[in-house]
Amino acid sequence: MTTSYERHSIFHLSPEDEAFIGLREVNPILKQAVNTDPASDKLEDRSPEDDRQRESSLVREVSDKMVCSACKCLFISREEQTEHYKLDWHRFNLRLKISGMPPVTTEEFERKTGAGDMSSISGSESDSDEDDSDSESGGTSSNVTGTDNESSVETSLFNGRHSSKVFFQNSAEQYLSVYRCILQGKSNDELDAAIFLKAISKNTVWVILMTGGGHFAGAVYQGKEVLEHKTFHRYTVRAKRGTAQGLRDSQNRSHAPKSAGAALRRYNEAALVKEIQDLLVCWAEHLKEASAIFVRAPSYNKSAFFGGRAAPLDKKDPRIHTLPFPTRRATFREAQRVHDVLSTVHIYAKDTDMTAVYSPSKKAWKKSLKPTAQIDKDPEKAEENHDSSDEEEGGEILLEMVEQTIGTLDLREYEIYPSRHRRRRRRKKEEPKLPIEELSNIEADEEVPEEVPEDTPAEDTPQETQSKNKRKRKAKSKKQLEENADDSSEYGLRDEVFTACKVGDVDALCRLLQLPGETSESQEQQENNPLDVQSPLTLLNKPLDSSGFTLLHVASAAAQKAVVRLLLDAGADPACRDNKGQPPYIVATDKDTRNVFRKYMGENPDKYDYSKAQVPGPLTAEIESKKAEKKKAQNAIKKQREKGQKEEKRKQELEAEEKKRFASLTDREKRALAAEKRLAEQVAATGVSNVKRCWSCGESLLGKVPFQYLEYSFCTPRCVQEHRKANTVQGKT
Amino acid sequence: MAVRASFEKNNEIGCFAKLTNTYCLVAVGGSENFYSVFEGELSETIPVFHASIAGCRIIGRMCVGNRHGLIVPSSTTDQELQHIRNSLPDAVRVQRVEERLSALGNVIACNDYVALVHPDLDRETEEILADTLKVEVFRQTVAEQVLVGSYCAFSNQGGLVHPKTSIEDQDELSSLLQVPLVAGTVNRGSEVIAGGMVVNDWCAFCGLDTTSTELSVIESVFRLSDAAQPSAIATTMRDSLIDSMA
Repeated sequence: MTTSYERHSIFHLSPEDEAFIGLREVNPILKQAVNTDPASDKLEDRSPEDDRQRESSLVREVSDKMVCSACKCLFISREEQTEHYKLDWHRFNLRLKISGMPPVTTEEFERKTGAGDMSSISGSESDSDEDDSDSESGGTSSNVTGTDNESSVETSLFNGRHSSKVFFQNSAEQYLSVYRCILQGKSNDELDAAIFLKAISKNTVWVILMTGGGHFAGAVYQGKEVLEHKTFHRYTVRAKRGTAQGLRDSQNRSHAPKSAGAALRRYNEAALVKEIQDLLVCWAEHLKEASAIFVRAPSYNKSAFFGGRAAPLDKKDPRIHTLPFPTRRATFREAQRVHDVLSTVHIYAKDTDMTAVYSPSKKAWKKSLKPTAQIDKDPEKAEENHDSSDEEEGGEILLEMVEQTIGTLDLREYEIYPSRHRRRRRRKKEEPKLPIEELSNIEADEEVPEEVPEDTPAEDTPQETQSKNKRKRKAKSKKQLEENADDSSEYGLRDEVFTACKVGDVDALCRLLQLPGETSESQEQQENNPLDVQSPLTLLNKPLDSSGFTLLHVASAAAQKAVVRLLLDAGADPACRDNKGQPPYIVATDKDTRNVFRKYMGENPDKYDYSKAQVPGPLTAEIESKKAEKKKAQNAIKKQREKGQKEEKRKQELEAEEKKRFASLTDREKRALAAEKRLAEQVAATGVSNVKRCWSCGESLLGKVPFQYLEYSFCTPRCVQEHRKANTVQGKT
Repeated sequence: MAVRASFEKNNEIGCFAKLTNTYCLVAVGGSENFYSVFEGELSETIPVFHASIAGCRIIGRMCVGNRHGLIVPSSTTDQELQHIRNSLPDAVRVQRVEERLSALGNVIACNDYVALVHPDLDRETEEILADTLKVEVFRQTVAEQVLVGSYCAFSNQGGLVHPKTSIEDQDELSSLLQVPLVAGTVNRGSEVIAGGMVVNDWCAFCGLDTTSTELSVIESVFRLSDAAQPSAIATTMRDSLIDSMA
């Protein structure tokens, strides 16, 4: 039994591969029942206890259980919690809850809302069909008790619907999942799945045909290579109709649309069907040898494939499958994506809680372990099961982190018996989820063969790229830690270097790093010789502390710009990542430090892999000066605006002052003023330029119809009243 | 301190009064008895005044407010608004909102820091709420009821929720609102909590039918009196309870 992994592409699996011996189905529902039951039991056990506790002591405390019962999700921080309540998803789930329906997950919600957009863009209706069926099956399963999280919802879904994905468990207890439709045969039998999975090889021919909204895309693949592909587009969806008008043609002949546009559309529909059928005739050979044909066609377009006298495809052909996930407009690129998705195997670490991974309709298949392996693994397995159940109780948050996606296209054969230490370590690491994209697939592919096999450090090669080596590095650093524990002098050196980086002591750092001779890491590891032999330069790219920080990380996090610069010059790779997968650039706390990286990139564009280091782009003097100019311009505009505001304010103040001054004048003076104004219309102006003012409060009456009595005029009746009252009092006295 | 009161023989005093930490609105009634109860308790610390909203006396259900502000529905007349503005302290902001769910008191529950609102409340109202009352707004239900303003009442000290709120929901709400919560009733078993009582950080008023058990729960969860705290049994009351062990 080797301890090395090799990976298969779906297309490379051979039937005699031992990975597929003795496949057997495990009912995921049973498995889940085991998982969920104790939890709910506990809940029930606990709640009366809690009640009692509550009753006995009336001291109440703020609960720290941050959950949203409507969305069935847990939060880690208060911020996350408060953010959640602002989401549309939460609103939607609240509505569902009120109407007694089970909640949807984020993905489902996004799919639901996203699907609407998509159909409006491409005129395809197929997506919404799927959603409907999803929500229907969700609707039948309203047995959610609210005691458990998502899993209970999904458990119930297993009963209702055939899954779109198949789950395998290999003897390393990792879960593999592939789309069910790539395994041929519509029967549910476990043997079939095994056989068909084995049958997929490099020479397997798949045909993907997609149509919708006047678009057609077809492609023939052998393995992962495209043999042929073709796309057309015809104008068949009339603007702003939102649906295929052709439906109305067939519904009511007499009321079929008669416009010119409709005629055009009808012509184009027929032409599209003709083109498709012609193409399929050309591809007859491929169609005959294809082991699977994936079709995505809305109902009204199905006739292009299955209708007519000489139908290119037979509806009952067992090789024909519909695509089990939503697709976008039918283009070649989309066909490529579909092919990628179909041929991708997701691998989940063995201790992943699969209940969370199963999307609403997935089944698990469990492969039996080889008997020999079983024997020596049993105790360990028990222990691990225990662990995993613990984690499950801990909540779902952990789960996303261990997920990992691995494409199969470039995989080679592998054995599925990794060392237990390795797996342990792997579990401890909570890796961020890698996106299911081509790039990361390839990356992951490369990563995999390395990550599992070696427990012996001999094979380590220092020039491997960093992302590959996250794990290895950790392992190495551990080993080094052990070594270094007794090796105090090196420890001292590291300590000094670390301190120098942290406090920004450039001189000390220069001194410490100024030892000649580059010894490779592996050499260094094997020579346990302390002191002279080890070059401090080798320290540069090694993780120093428990969080996996390299010197560059340390300097970057401490915002020591000079040190960062020095380290980069000395050869510290900015693409090294810490345990969280962050390169030094990301760890930097301020802009200046980040700019050091960018400037360095501008000066030495080829020295390091900056894209891996996540440095966004070079920063040269030119760019900087441009930025400075821009800032200057902005400042100037701002200044001008402020000036304008100030002026306006001054004007207002003047007006207010004038208002006050006028109001404080006595009536006689006001009259005099008015007279004076009249007189001195040509002469110089007084302090009050506007004499058309309310006699009581001094409000300007320009542009208003004033309230008047005698020769007085006022802005409001209230002013009139006040003035009158004041005058009568005067009159009496 | 929790006090019993009734508004013209009606126990739902939460409908006829609005109590916050900085002001108290009381409906105009046939007699001044109701007003006197509030005045007697509060007039030394905060302004207590008569008000009406849209000509109705059910001001407690129509408006929502806290220390920072008061929000009234669009049906409030200018005159009423002016009167309320004049009576309130200057620091309190008054805002009128156009909201379909016009009985704001029924759809919003708040203290000085957080507000719980009806899931269907307008987004604009939510923003005004956050601005005027300076609160964090959360859409949530209480015991599957959307009228969160009716079925729960909470101050900065604690809160009382619908009696059928599950423990999980209580935990969730409590972590959300950052106050301890208890499921309970007022007015001899009424589940319309906010209808039956008004509360601020140091004082509560309940309907006349409220039993003494209910009252003691209220006093303890809203921390209205030190003696009601169970810890007091072990500390201050200890001497009087335990005669002599020797």
